[in-house]
Amino acid sequence: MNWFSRRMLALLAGLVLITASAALVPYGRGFLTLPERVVKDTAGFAEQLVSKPFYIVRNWWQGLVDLRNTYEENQKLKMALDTLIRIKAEYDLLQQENETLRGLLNFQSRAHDYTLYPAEVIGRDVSTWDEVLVLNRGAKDGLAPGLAVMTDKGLIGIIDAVSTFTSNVRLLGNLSTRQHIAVMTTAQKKAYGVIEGYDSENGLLVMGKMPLDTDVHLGETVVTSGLGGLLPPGLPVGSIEKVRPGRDMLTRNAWIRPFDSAQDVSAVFVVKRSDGYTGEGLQP
Amino acid sequence: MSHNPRLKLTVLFIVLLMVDGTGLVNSSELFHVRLSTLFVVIAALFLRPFPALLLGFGTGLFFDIVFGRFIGLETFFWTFYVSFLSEAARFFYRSVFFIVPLAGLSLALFDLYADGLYRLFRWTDTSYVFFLRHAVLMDAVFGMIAALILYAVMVPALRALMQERDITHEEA
Repeated sequence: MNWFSRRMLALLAGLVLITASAALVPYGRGFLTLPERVVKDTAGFAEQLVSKPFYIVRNWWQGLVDLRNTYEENQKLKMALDTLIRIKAEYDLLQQENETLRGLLNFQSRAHDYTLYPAEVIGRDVSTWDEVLVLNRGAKDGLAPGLAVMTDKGLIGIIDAVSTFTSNVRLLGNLSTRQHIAVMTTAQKKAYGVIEGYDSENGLLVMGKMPLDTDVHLGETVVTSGLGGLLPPGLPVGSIEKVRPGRDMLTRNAWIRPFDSAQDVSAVFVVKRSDGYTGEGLQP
Repeated sequence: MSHNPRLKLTVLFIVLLMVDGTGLVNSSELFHVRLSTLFVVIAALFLRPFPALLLGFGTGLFFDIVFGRFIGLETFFWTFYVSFLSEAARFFYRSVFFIVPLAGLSLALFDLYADGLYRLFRWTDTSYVFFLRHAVLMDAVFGMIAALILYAVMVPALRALMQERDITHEEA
């Protein structure tokens, strides 16, 4: 067998292997092997060495830029503060009322309570820019596959794979079928659905599985419904920008503009439910 | 700066890997290009097939493990592509007019290969026009710009390395 034939054979064998690997390895498998964990942790350490000083300098520079607009911003914040005081008072009253009613009903579920764990983004690759973020927190911090990840604006993804010191976040636009998120609108008459696709050209999430007669209006806010099991309800996702009938003509699809497109993220929060539910037995 | 070309190239490669891994250069949204794979392509044109193959394999595996959807997507492409480049480079004069466009085209070729696999498994439904305009074209253009900068840094060191290798070969 000559040189060219051997190369061609190896190339074809490689192609077969790669296709088999893509088809057989489950996407979002949740666990990592020991060599993968070692490589990821080592890379995570090196990435932190670069990203930490960069973010320190960037934040310092951002602070300087912000200083120029301080007076104008202060005026706006003062006005916003008056509104916030009123909203906070209303919120406290409603929370008290909620607690009382829950007590009366002997209602035990605390699914809507969650704790936020801050984490820094230490890695991101240009080829998978819209797919993966690497965080500086891992299994040693109690992170597990399937936990929600959000910024101060809203939900951006789900933890996909965890090594000892780092974890990968699968962004909303690239969730596997097993990671589809149950969502609902916040209108008086709620519409329930599932985020099951992504329109990458317009940066919109596709909310499907809504009955055809569902009442959905443009601009409505979409939050997690908590019906998927693992994510707490009420995490903000985005607002509705477009509504169309589904391809099967039996359901409706809504296109959601995410509150945070996660194009430039340096810090995030990992959301853990306070009721201790971890989705044990569920694969992400 | 060190006069040892091997050390210079190794340090440069590690720095590029770290910069790519953190996504700091690419976070500007103005400049989207992976520098470490450009390094691999340019280095492969001057290296022998086996070291080039190892370099491609290592880089691909690193990106597959840290960021990839599954292991093999990048490992396979860069291993084969880089060893092929290393073989083919003997027949061309390795000037800036050859290296820079080739580096940009290599990134575009990888985009086409990855998109082909994504479409095969229905992981993407992006239109071809959008993909060509926003991924292939951008990578080719930014790849060439970045390759021009890397050329100035890398090629003198690679030529020195080749000379050193040829002298050792003659002495042997």
